[in-house]
Amino acid sequence: MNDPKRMDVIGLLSPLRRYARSLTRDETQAEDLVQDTLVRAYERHGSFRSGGNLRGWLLSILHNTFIDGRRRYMAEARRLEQAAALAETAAPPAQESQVRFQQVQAAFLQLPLEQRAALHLVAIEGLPYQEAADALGIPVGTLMSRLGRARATLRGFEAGTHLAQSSEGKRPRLRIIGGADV
Amino acid sequence: MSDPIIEADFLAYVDDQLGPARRIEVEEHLARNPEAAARIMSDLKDRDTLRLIHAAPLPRPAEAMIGAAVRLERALEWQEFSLKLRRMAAVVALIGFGWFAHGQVGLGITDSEASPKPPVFVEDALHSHETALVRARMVSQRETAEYDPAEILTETGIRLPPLPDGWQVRDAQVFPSRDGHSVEIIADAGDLGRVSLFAAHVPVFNVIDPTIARFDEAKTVYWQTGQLAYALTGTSSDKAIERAALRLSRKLQ
Repeated sequence: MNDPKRMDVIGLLSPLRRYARSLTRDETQAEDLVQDTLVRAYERHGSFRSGGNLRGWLLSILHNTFIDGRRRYMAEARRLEQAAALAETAAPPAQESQVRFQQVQAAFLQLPLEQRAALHLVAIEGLPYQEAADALGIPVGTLMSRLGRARATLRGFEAGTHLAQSSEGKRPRLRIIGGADV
Repeated sequence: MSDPIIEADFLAYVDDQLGPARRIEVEEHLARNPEAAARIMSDLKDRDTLRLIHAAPLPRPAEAMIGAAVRLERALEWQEFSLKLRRMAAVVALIGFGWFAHGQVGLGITDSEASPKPPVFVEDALHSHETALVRARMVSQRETAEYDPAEILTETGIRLPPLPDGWQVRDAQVFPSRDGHSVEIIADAGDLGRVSLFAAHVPVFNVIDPTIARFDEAKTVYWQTGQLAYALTGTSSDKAIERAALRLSRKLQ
């Protein structure tokens, strides 16, 4: 009562949905995943420790729900990924920065799932390492090495030539020159 | 000399997970290493870009999702609440014992038979012998109208509120409890009729706002401030007892 909104599940819907989008790479699948997560969390709400971290608890359930039903969430995602790629080319970017946004987002979505999950929780949601590691069920060291690899890939993506993307040749790609890197 | 800067420091620097001192060390290092600095800037830029992309507000969730979220929220809140209730069970058991004790000494509120009789009060009754020693020291004996909060505080460590004007204390007793002593004041409280104010040490530190619990014929409004739990019990209307309990709890703050 001194902390009236401790069980603010509604307030956590946005982080959950964002994370689900990064995992599934598809809006519809993401919404389904969040829905399934809420149902699962309800079924096992007894496992939530009083005074525990609600956000971490829900993110962890979402992650596990995704892993368990991965094939289901992914199968459709692949099909929709193509649709998303189409949508991307269809909308002409207004500014160079927007091109870059799309490139970074594309590189992020192409990261292996483990790295994408780690980077999402830490970079986008701003979770402390320990909390992110707990949500993923891995040690902090593993989390950090995944982050390191994810960052290296993003950097490499920017520094290198975008082979797969530039083949479209529809519009000029922003190329970053320099950045001596692996 | 500070620790050498390692890869993990760069990572934690980008993720804003370093303390200020370590941040400065990393920044000093970067100031001397343009290549590393360029890489860190690139990482920071990627991080900020990702944040910006994902900061876009999401469309309103489907009704089904809101429904599922609300259902979960309620389940979790109920769970928290029942945990508090379980913590209070000890207190309620002591209240039960208080009524039992009154029965023994021919005092107390009239409907002692109607009170719940949790099995633990038998155990508590044994402890009451030990507490008799404390009672012997106190001026306020059984059937006394003496009410001396200062003395009770000194003897038992239990802080009691000043009673409202018009309340006539009929008895003040110290009883044993699991975690020290408990005190029970019986008073004639005007419109409220005869009420008892019970206060006890409890094991779990908590803050609970006045909450009502209804028994067969009596109602108890209990609250907790830190390690002290209070309960006001009477037979008048819920509202009246709640109001009185609220007034008493505020006087304790």
